[in-house]
Amino acid sequence: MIVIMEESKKIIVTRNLLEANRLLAEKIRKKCTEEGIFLVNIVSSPGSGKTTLLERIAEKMKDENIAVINADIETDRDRKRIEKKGVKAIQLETKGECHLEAFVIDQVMSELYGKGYRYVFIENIGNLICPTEFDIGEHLRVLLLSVPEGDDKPKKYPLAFRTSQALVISKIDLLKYLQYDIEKVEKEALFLNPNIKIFKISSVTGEGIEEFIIYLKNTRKRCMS
Amino acid sequence: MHELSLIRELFSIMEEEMKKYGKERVKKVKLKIGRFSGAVPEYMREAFQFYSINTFAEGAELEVEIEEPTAICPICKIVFKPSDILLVCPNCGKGGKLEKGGELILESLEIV
Repeated sequence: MIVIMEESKKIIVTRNLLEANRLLAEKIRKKCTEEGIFLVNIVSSPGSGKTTLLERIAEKMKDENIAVINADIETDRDRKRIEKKGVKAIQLETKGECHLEAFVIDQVMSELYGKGYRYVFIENIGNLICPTEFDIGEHLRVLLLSVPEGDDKPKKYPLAFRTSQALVISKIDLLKYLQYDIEKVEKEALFLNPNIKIFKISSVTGEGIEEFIIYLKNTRKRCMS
Repeated sequence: MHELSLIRELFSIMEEEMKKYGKERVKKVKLKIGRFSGAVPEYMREAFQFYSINTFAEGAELEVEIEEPTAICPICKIVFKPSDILLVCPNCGKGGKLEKGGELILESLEIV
């Protein structure tokens, strides 16, 4: 019997598995800047109020040319809610994928370039773990954390706090009904990320929304110049 | 559970590398997984096995090296080995910044 030995070759590669995603994210960010689009990635747990906050933003920023990308595992419920506010919304159904990646945003953004949009808000999949690993080309990452989720979240999900530039504590109208140590949350968030900007809002009463919108406008200005 | 996405990226890198060398099959893959990279080595193995079926890497050996983390304190500037992902500086108690142990690297391939 003749055995043919295959010659194997060892090659040193040393490439980061997230390299392709990062490069594409940089490309998206550059293109958006050129287009004057301020890209905002909103990450949070399910049910923290991403869509409701976006409804309030849609009402208050009507004249700012905004568009929304709603990502969910299933259904187009969120898109319909945003469209009711007279704002362009695109629904992404990821069919099981637990996070968004740059290649998905790259595809969907082609529908939004060249139309004069000034702000595009991406409602990421409700999940505090996987979405935080992926840069999707955003200028700003906003972490939304709602009061009913409990005040123990920062140290449980450090990466979400470290990779976000703004923390929005939502549903503060419920503070009076719940035992929630908001100072502890702020302290722990700042421990993980001393530069994180903290906002406290209620999409029901409207408290804090104006301040958050001013921050969005100022940050857009800074990123575009 | 984003490990499947990471393995998908691994496969596209492997494909590129194989084309570069004009080879058709991968026999061995060496990955370096940072302990604080967010990827779970066991899930990476499972995802690799699942993804490799009917591909150029079916049956390939996957070697995983865990990279132990180091962090730097932005205040004291000391480099330390963090005991957990909170990266508490042992000197001043403030939060540190991860230096090593957060990455996922394809180190080397054995191709035939």
